Amino acid sequence: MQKKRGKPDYCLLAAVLFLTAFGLITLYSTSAYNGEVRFGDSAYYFKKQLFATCLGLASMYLVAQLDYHLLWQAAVPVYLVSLALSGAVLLVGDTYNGSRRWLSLGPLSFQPAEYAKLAVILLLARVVSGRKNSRGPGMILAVMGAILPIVALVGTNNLSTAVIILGIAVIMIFISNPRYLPFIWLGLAGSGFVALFLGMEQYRLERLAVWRDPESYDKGFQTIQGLYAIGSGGMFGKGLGNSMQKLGFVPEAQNDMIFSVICEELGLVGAVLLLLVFGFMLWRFMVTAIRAADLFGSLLVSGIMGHIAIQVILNVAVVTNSIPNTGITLPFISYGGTSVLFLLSEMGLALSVSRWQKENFSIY
Amino acid sequence: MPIGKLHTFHRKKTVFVFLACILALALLIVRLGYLMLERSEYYSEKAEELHERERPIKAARGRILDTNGTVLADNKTVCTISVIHSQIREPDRVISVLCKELGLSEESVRKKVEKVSSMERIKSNVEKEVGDKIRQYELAGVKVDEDYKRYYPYGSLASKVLGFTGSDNQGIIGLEVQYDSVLEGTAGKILTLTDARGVELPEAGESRLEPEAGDDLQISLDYNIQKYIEQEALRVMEQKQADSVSILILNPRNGEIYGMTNVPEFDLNDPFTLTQEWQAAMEEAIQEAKNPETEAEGEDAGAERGAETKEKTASEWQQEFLNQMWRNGCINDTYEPGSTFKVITASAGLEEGVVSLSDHFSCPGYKIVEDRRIRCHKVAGHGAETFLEAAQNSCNPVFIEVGLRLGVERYFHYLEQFGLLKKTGIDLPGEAATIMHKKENVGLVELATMAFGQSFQITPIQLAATVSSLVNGGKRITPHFGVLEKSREGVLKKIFQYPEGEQIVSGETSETMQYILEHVVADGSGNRAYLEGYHVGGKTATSETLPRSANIYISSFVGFAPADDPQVLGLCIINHPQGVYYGGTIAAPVIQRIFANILPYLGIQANTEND
Repeated sequence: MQKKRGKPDYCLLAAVLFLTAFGLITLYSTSAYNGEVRFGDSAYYFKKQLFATCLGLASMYLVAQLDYHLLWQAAVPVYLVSLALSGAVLLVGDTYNGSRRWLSLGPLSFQPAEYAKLAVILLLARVVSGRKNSRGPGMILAVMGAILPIVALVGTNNLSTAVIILGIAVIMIFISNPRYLPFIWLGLAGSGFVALFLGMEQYRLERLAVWRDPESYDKGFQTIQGLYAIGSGGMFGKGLGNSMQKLGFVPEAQNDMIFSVICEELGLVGAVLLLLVFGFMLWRFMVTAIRAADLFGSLLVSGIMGHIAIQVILNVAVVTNSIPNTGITLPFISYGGTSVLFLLSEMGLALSVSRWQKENFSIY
Repeated sequence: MPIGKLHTFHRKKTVFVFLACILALALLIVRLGYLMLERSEYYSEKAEELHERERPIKAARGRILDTNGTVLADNKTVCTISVIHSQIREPDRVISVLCKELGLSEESVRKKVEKVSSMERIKSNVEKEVGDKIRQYELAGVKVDEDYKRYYPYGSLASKVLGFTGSDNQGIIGLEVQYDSVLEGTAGKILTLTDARGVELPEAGESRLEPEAGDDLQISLDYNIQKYIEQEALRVMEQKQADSVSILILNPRNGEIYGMTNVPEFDLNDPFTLTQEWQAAMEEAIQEAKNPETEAEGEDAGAERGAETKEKTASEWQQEFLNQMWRNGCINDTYEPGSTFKVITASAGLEEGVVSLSDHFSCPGYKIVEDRRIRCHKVAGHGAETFLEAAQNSCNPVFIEVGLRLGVERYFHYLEQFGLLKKTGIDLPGEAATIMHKKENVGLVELATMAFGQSFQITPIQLAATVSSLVNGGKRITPHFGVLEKSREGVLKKIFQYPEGEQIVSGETSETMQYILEHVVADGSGNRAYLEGYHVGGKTATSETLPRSANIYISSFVGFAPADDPQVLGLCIINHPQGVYYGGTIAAPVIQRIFANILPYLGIQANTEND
């Protein structure tokens, strides 16, 4: 068992840079109309995103240089800060589009929920890798106990992010435990809980009805507009910049529904290629995780993999109306400065882990 | 500084999670493939519907042609001149050119040119030559759009028959309404793309669906005959200082109408302006409304009337008189036919066998029916006469006698059988129905008055159609204009079919009627319609409008030729003539003059050997 400090995973880096650039181009194409109509500046959203991306790239570079083992110590304070920020946003947060999710700092605004995801990954990697016994239910309880406060805080006004955090946690616990059977029970219990949760409130059931037949409901408007965009794309799409649906038909096209505009402009070919790049990225995470020098590093990357995978899968599933509508952004592509900043920081973290790799190991 | 040991199961589970994610992505790709290939057509169609905006392009309206192909209603290309503020580069030159070419005041043009708006219309319905001239200046920001406008080459000719169209090219009255679906064509459209706010996207370009021109309508009306009867109608209206004159010329065998006029006509190219006569009538009416005359009625009634009419605005007055001006008296209005209706009574009597040509009657100048003494127009009486002579004399007591012999039941049976209780079915809008007593309310007195054409009302077209049917061998005809529909290129699309008429009287009765009516013209009251070389049949009438005390008369004459094989039938009605008002004296000569001209024109040769 050797350990060497080497070069970062350039394949992963390439995928990250590709997605970042592609995201910026797509964002400009998608948001130009809304920027022009609302702010008289077609580059309005692009400029803000470009600024956050630059910050993010700088952050990624710094984190990648860092020895990730130092974060073992930082995990708890980082988590406490995220609790504080998520608490603060409930009290003094700014409301935009009906949700109180932003903290303002002078001209900059910041979404603590995005930061919370990174904090949770750090914390769970530490909690799990710090425990000797990984078999018993103690681990699950410890992990759940650790993240419950943040899930509660974030979930008050941002259910989707809370679900993502929970999902990340489940994936990390799953990896940390050698057994499979308990997770089947956990999965069944989770499904039961979701069914109960949905049945409790009429509006949630309505959401199901909208999902099954979006054209018959007013609330299916966003979904149906997304489907129009996707369907209009056909095999090769209308060409970059030629989407009609982004001209105010898909509401807030630069946000959650941006994938539908990609489908419309680049067609099935472009959309599948994008998903393949995401798949490639996940593969690189997996490789980095199983070659990691230690459990802490491996879990960090697994958590990141879970984070990206959950968001990509849920976002595309929502946009294609494969599941009921819920607000989840597409990593690297959707508009959101905080999101891109912390995503790139996470990528820095993964790159840092990739610098300490074992050469010889077996998984069987 | 390793933290925690990475076991093999950790790696296995990481791979497991990865594979699960890849599986999910693969499923989503399948879903995308379904949406973007299988459902693509459905969704793109829906999306396109959402993005497309239609702008209609007017279709050229079909023309109306007379029986010889003379164009009576056509389209003219006109231009709309507008300015697009943001594109104007030389505002002063634009203003001076537009003022010069369009004859507008500089002030009004300047206001529009300098107004900050996306597009400002300067003038519409501009002649094409003027539009072309403006185009040649090549002024930036000045737009010349071509459009169609309905155009009637002969102005007022057959105005009430042809009708006119509104701003959207839809028919408003007359044949233009009746045959709107034939004439209107299919509008084309310009499809443009818009964003969600409905703003057109100029870079997206536009696709055009060309309009389809409407079909031409050929009618039985003959320009020359129409022109001539309008002249005759105007001449007699002037000569007799009449309120109006209606003349109808039709083919009694198949119902094709050759001419129909109600003078005064109006200018079809300017239908919303009252003619001088109507303008004067309107002003008079407004004056009258302002100063209610209190001659007959009490003060209260006068004041009431004043208050009622005071509310009428100028535009309401205008509209009321426009409606009056557009009325086609031949079909929209009813009148008391008077003695021309004796043709119907005679036919019914002959058909039923209650009277024959040689029956003898005696007219003392009146006939007593129940407690009424109904006078003949000849106060001294016609004395002893045969039925034929009674017809020549238009003797009221004899026809009363025929009516009474028939009785109410049988008389109404024939009214029904002759088609008098229904509309004729002419292909013009707004045909008025016959105003007739209810059968159960008809006593002998009413029957007696009906027998010589009083106490009920029918339209002129109904009288002409019924008389035609009685003298053409006995087949009911449907009077009509529409003959055929053909494309602009002349391809026949449709020949209009009219119901095969029922036999309403026997051929024998019809022949007898021809004989009687020829004698009315040859030897009786219709002798002013006699035309050398032709056998003309006909019947005169002089009726008095209600109230009888007003002494307002309607003189009319219905005539046909040749009497033994009728090919043309004419009806002339003169409303409120001054001076001599006998139908035989003033209406019969009108038909005589018309026949003298149109019989040779229609190829009906005078027979100079006999007589």
